[in-house]
Amino acid sequence: MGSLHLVTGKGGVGKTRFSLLLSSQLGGCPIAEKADQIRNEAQKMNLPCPEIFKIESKDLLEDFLISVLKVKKIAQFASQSKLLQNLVQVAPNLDEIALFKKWISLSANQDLVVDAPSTGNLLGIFDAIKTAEKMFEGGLLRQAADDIDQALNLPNRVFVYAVSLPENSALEEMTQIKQHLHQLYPNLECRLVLNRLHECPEDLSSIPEAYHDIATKRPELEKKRIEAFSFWRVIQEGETK
Amino acid sequence: MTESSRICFVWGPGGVGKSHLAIRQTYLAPAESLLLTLDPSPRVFNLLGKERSSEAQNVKIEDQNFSIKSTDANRLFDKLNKISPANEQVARYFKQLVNGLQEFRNYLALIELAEELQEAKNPFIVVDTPPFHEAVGLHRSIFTLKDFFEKSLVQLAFKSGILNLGVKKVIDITKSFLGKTAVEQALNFLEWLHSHLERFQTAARTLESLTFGDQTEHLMVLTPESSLNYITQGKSFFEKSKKLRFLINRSVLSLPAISGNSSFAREMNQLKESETKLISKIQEVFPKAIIESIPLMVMGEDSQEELLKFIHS
Repeated sequence: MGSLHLVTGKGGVGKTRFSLLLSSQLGGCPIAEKADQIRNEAQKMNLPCPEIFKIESKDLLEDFLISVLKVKKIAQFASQSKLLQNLVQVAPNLDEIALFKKWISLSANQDLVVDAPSTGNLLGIFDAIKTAEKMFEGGLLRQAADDIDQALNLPNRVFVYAVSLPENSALEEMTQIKQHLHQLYPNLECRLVLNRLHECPEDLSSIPEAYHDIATKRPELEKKRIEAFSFWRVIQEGETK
Repeated sequence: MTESSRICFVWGPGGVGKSHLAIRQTYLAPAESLLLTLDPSPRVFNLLGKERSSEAQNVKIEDQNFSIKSTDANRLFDKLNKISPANEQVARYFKQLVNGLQEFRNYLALIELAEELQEAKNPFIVVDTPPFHEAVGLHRSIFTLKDFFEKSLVQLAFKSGILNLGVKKVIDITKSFLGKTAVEQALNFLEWLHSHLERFQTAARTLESLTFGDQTEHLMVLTPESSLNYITQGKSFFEKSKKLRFLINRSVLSLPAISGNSSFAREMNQLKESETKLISKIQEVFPKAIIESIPLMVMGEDSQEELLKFIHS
């Protein structure tokens, strides 16, 4: 059985780069989402580009409908109904559940790294599963939520990597995410990854004075923060492997 | 709000200093202004040493006084419940949706925002928003809010009477997703929601006109490291804005040239290059937007002293 590795974090913290590093560490397993960015990043980092699964959210509702209605034409018509889309918005987060279900099935037999949405949106996906379980006694959506829930409760089936820069607001948010996920799924392992850690330059004399404050104080502050949190992996600025 | 009230929405990706900027904007505004946050994180309250609350709290920084409060979906429910009481099942449904659904939370936050903006008597209102990735959903919600309450909800709420064949079909399909009971519950909930339709419709219209009104400014905070995608993603929303300002926080362009091949020099030169690209992209997509910058400074203590230094930068 494969494992699903979900990489999240605020925008711009290096989720795509970390996803590539992780995929390469896992023997070059496929990556889902953000195809173009992954290709560009692989080129920049001189890493072989793994297989990419591009999942279009507009196709998800249609896929789901096909599995219910069996007839593609009707499913396509229904998926375009504004009313259905709105009903789906006030009932379950169908999009989210369908997306998660797809990730689970793609990682059933092989490892899969997902360059996932930013933190708030990923938490929204986790919340949608629990909401569906509380709100619906039956139906296909409940069944999908149950399947995901089962996978999330298996040991070593799903891992979440919260990538963060060494900044206070980002670290506070990462801690909240870890706690939130732990409450929902005590067996789910959430690993904190610290990216772009700065070092104090060895030779300050070669650097104009205007930069001295930032060059020396920033690494000190970052060191303090590292001591306050425990990280799964710390990546130095510029590190690629 | 009064006729002379002004609004400033502060947008930006996570970690660019958006909360600091929202506080700075409110501090620089006339006395007795309001900082209203839509962001579910308590960050802006933490920086001011306050507990997150939907009740207005007074903040005093040096000689400046302003208020801070957050939107709260449960408070909106209480307000609505007083007018048209919900049964236990509907109340539970509402709470589940608030906890579980981003899109629904967005709608409620926006209804609250619209009502808060209308009721507020402050001369200046700064609206602090969630990180931009999540806020893109909020942008979409501002556009779809009116549509949702004017069209779909009306159709759904008339389920017992004049349901047309298309609507019936959609509800049948939904039953296979959710089960029969859940659809009945959803429809009961929608019926209750429908009893507040006029209020929602008014709020949706107010919000759209206030968001893009003459008295409203949109301030997008970025850093030299920010992805260019934020500019293109925000295009359809920001181009409707009458006053648009970009603020590059932690700007490095005014710092002197730095040579050598140390990792520090490489980082700074890369930042300079990214900032130049970012500014040209903004100028290309939004030729009329104002672009300002705040130079890079060491931050991270989260102390009052640091906040003051930033405010006066």
